[in-house]
Amino acid sequence: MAVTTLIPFGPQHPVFLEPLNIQLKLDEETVVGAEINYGYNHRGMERAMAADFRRTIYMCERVCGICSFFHSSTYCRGMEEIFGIEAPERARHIRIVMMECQRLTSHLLALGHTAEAMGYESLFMQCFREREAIMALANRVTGNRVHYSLNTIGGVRRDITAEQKAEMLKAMDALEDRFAPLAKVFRTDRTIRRRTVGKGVLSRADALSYGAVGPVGRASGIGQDLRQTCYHGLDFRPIVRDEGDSYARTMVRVDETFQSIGLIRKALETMPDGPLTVPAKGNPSGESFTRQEAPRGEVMYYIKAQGKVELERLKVKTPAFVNVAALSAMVPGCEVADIPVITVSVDPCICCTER
Amino acid sequence: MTMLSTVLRNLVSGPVTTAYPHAPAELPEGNRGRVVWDMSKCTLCGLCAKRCPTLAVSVDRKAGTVELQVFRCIACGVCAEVCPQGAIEARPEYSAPGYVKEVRTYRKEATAQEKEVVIE
Repeated sequence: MAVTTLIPFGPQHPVFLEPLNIQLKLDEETVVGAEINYGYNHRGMERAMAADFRRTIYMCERVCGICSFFHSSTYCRGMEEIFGIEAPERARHIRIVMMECQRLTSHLLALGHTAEAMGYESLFMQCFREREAIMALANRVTGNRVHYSLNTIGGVRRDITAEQKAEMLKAMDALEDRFAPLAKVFRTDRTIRRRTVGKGVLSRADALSYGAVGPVGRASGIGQDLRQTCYHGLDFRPIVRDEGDSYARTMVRVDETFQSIGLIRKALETMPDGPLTVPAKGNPSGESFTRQEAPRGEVMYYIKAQGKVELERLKVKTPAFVNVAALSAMVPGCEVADIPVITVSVDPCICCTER
Repeated sequence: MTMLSTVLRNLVSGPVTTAYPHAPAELPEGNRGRVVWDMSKCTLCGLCAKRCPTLAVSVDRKAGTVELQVFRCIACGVCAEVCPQGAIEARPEYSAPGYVKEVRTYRKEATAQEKEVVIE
């Protein structure tokens, strides 16, 4: 097919929350190719984070404004490995509970954003309304709405009290009740189905070659979820779909929202009593490689400590980086008007990607 | 049509938002937004300045002051946790926007003994 037009989509575009540029190659109204350009949001955080390993606990939360707790949990787990200690079982459960709370806020944001990209404003408002309840809950438990600052090397800094536990269980019941009708809208609404079914298909082979992770990979039939190994004792099974289109990606998020509610309940009920932290003293040396399942896929931290306050190297790999790259395999063949919904269904997080 | 039940329910229920800042914000007890120093307890040891992840706190022992750069503070609560005297408290409050980068200074009053020395 002949390329007749080149259209720059972004870096400033109403549908994007963050700057990302996609050069669309068009033949009339059909997309025949896409080139993705990053680099509008680079802050040099990896270098800054290597300056002091104790300050990094709070700084690495600032890598991302949506999945901040996953970053600090992964980093703390990596440092615990270097220190040769292990967080107590209660701290591990509190981390799981708060990570799943954050996954709820992240998925509700992604779902709301998908609805908004289709022009479905009322559904967007409803998703954000439910999200607000979870953020207020996190504020009551941890003291902050977004950047919880709950982690420390060797455990967590705050406990979940018995009243908070009861309140969380109540909030989960309320969320489940109120989200069920919204999930039905995402599943069956004619407008949504016409905008997403069969649009932006990522085949299993393409997903594997681009290394797609998280809901994008699971919607293309790759049953990989790090929670299988990290959440031992909680009987976790990943949600996998085979279609690989925007609808499948959205539905994986909808189903994972219910799954997270279940995981929070289970983790709260099986939470043992015990200490919150084990002491981590001194400046260690060694290296570690930690992975964790963030809402968008696996986040990876490589840490190399050298027995000083400064780290020799800190490398972060975020899920959005590979998922956004997979866009160039999704868009060929679709119409220009479908590009916003397809890009948003990938849930791009440029803040993480470029850090 | 699938949205109809939700829309109808919203039509008869009141708004979920509050008129903040005209109405007070609903803040839980455990929230930490505003960090304050109790200078009667503070011994100017400087541990808070040493541990602050964003270098927002500076302690001047000679002048007897603690300075907090409010816009650098990320409300992590580390200073309140490490303070050996329990002089720092993180109170529930949303940080307000400002026209200038606010710097709050806490001054240590001279103790009774020191005052006596001055009088002599």
